[in-house]
Amino acid sequence: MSAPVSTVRVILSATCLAEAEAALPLATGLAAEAGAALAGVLIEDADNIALALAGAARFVDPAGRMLAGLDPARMGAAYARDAARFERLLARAATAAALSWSFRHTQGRLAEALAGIAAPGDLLVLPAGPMRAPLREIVLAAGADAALAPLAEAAAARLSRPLRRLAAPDLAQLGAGSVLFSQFEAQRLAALLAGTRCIHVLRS
Amino acid sequence: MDQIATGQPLSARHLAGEEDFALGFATTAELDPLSDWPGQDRALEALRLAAGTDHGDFNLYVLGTPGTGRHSATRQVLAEAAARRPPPPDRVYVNRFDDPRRPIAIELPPGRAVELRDALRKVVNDLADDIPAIFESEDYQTRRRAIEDSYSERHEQAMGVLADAARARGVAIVRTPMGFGVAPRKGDEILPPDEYEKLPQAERERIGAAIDAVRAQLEDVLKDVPRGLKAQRAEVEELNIAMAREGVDAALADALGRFADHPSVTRHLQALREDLIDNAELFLIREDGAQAGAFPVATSRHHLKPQFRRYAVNVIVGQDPDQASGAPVIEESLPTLANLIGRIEYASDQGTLVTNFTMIRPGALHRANGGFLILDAMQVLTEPLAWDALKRSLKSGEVAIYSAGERFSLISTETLDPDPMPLKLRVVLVGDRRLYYLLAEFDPDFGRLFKLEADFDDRMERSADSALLLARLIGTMARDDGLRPVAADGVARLLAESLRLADDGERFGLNLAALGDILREADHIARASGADAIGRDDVEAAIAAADRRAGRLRERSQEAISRGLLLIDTDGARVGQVNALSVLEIGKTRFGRPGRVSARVRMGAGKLVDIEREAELGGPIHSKGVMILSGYLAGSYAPDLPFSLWASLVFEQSYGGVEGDSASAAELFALLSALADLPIDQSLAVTGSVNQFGEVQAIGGVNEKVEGFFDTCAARGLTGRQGVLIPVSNVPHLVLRPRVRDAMDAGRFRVIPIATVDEGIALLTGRPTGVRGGNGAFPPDSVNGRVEARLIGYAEARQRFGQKPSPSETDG
Repeated sequence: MSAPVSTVRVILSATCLAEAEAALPLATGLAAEAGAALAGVLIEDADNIALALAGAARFVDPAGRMLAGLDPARMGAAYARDAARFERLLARAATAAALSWSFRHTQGRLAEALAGIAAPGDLLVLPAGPMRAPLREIVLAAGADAALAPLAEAAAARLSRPLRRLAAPDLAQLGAGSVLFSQFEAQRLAALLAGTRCIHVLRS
Repeated sequence: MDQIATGQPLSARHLAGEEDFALGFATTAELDPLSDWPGQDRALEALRLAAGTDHGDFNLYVLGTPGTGRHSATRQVLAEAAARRPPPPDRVYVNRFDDPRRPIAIELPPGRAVELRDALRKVVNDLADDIPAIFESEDYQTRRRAIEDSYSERHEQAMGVLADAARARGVAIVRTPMGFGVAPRKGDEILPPDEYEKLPQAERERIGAAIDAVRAQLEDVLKDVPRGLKAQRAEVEELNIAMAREGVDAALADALGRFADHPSVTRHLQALREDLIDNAELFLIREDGAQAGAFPVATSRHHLKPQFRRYAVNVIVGQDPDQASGAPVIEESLPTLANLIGRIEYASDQGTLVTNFTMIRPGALHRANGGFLILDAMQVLTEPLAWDALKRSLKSGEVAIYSAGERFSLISTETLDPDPMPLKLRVVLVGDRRLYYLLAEFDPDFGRLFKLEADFDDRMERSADSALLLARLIGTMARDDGLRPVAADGVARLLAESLRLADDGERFGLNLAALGDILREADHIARASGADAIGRDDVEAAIAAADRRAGRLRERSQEAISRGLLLIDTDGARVGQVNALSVLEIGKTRFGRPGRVSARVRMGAGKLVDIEREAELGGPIHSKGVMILSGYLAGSYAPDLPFSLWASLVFEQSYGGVEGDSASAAELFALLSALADLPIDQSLAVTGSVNQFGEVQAIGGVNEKVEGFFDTCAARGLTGRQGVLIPVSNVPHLVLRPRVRDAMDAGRFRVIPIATVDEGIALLTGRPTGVRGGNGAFPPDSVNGRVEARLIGYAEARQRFGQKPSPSETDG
């Protein structure tokens, strides 16, 4: 049995600023706890860009008003703005926690992009998609990397939230307020993101 | 005192002096202390009335000469009256929470202002600990989380249902930088646009309809979010208020109970309770950054933090409940506007002047409220706006605080308009008489607001009883000042000096300050000599030393005479020239000085030229005196003929102003000498005024005048012939220095009282004055006979000049 690889980076990935903002405190806390660098990745999802071209797609702003006349250029500009703000927020949070940090703005499909970025020892933090909810619980999947357990416990203590250990988590039951600590598996990532609504902390 | 004979030299037994006092004690240590002020019964009666009555506007003006005990008597009488009065209520300013510009004034029983202040400090200190604890408690956190969770779950559930419904209809909801996207899906991913375009029309229409339906539902869910957040905030707010209310009520319970019987305090505490509940977040402010400092703030002193000043109690008048007794007696030595009515202070905050009710400071009117306020009249009148403010407060019966800048609209910064405080006190102004009469004349409010006057006399009738009272007062002064007791001969010398200060051998002067100064200096001399008591010689030495210190000008004046710079004859005889006497008073120095008065006469049209007046050096009273001489001459001599005299009168070598009529007798004697062509004995000097009937009248400063001529004569050698003619009515005023009295006793100097001009001119010329005989004429060789003859001669000569020349004279 090989010794557990120490955490090198905590990578917070998001497809927009709203997702990143929601998960930034969690990611910063994990990096501080693990003594790792904090990395931010804004992935300009190809599917989202494609939406701007799809005649059938509809857009609704966060206040519930329908948006019209979107095109790839406006969507691209919106990504650039989100990337800039994400980087600023990340830098401020990392500086306040005395962490080294990095930021990357990339394009591609989410699962493929993450698979390309993650290296052994990294911790991926993936927001809960379109759903927003306050953090309610920390869930540690059985069989996860040994290094995940102390991080999950520390996060639960820091956030004053209960920690559940589940042998076989029913992913469909985990809502947007749950944070699931589990193992990163690149080939299952797309299905995992499509089939769950919780926040993921994945050990690479 | 023996009968006074005019025209005869006085002896020392005719004069008042220390020998007159037979005091039946060895030293003042044997005497009972005197707590009263002798000779001031009238003033003390007024003081006691002002101190005792409750009627409004019976304020008092204490007038009199400085040194007569005005201040000490006022202080003592008021202190005695104040001790019998109940202590006044305490007064505080508190915040008016709905209008902080207008602080509320509250009246409390004596000693309870500090209690209220401390009680509210404790409330704040307790809440500063309790409220954070309440909001950090598990109970609060759980209840708040439950509220937040209920709303977020509702939203989450709605989004979840929508997401499931969308998935079932083949539609995906994704998050993008522009918001939410709703698009057809293919498995777990978005259906690419080109694939979508290849779908059959019917399928595209079905997907389009599904997308529109999901989009519409999504819009509803998202629009519901702000409403949910608002409701959530309201619910959290209600929770916060409920939690704060519990803490505030617990903290305030003690204060509310202790002040339950004071409606105004209870009202304030209720308003404070509402404000505490509404602003509970003030207690959750954490001190971060630079303000936190290296050390934590002591947990018991949270009330000092700026955010809690709104809950403070500003004690304007507060008394220690253990020591509160009697009414206050306040003496304000600097009665500026602010020191009288209080002031509102300001602090600079980022370049702006700001203030609040805790920066209201009380004035003397606040501190004296319910008691007595002693002010110096001149000080109040010379401080800008102070007199106006004092009158305004007394008239309105309340103290309103404002600044001079505000009154003149000189400041535009935000300020306060505190409730005026009810005012009930007795104001006592101490000042001089002139000011009192000016105020009475020119300020219509003065008489209404200051109905009482305490007029301190500056002299007291001399008697054995009053001498003993004064002796006791001298003993009391010595005792109070920690001086040696005064021996009987020392007291006698002081009593004589008191007569001298009054310029009257029959009245004691009541300038206690001057007597006190002599006493202290005499004690200093007695200590140097190792004496146990202050004796006569010590007092005499103190008086002489004070005279010497103030004697530079007097010595210069005598020096000018002895060096011949100022021409004064003290022997021989001269026609139309007489020694007159004047008094110079500069600062504390007062001394007599001889001066030469001369007269020249010739025929004229009845004009008496007063050279002093012509040169504008003579004052109106002096001019009046000279005019009286014309009346005397015209009425006394050759009444049937035109008054045909031209005469000039002058004070020789006088370059300053001349005022008063005390030299009119001397001027008349010079005139008569010139008219009679009879020389005047220069070893004599004259003082006194005359009337048109030739009576010699009393003048002031007789002691200094006699001593002034005595010193001149003594410097040249006393001959025994030298002396001074004084009005007989001035004899009771003679309290001469021992050197003069000794010379008089030894027959080396004379003081001769006269009652009429005739007596005086006879003494001065050595000729009988002469009275009209049966033929209506004066004896030819008498003074009057010679004067009348001269005047008749002038009249006849004038008549001749007035006659027309005879034809023979004109024809030549």
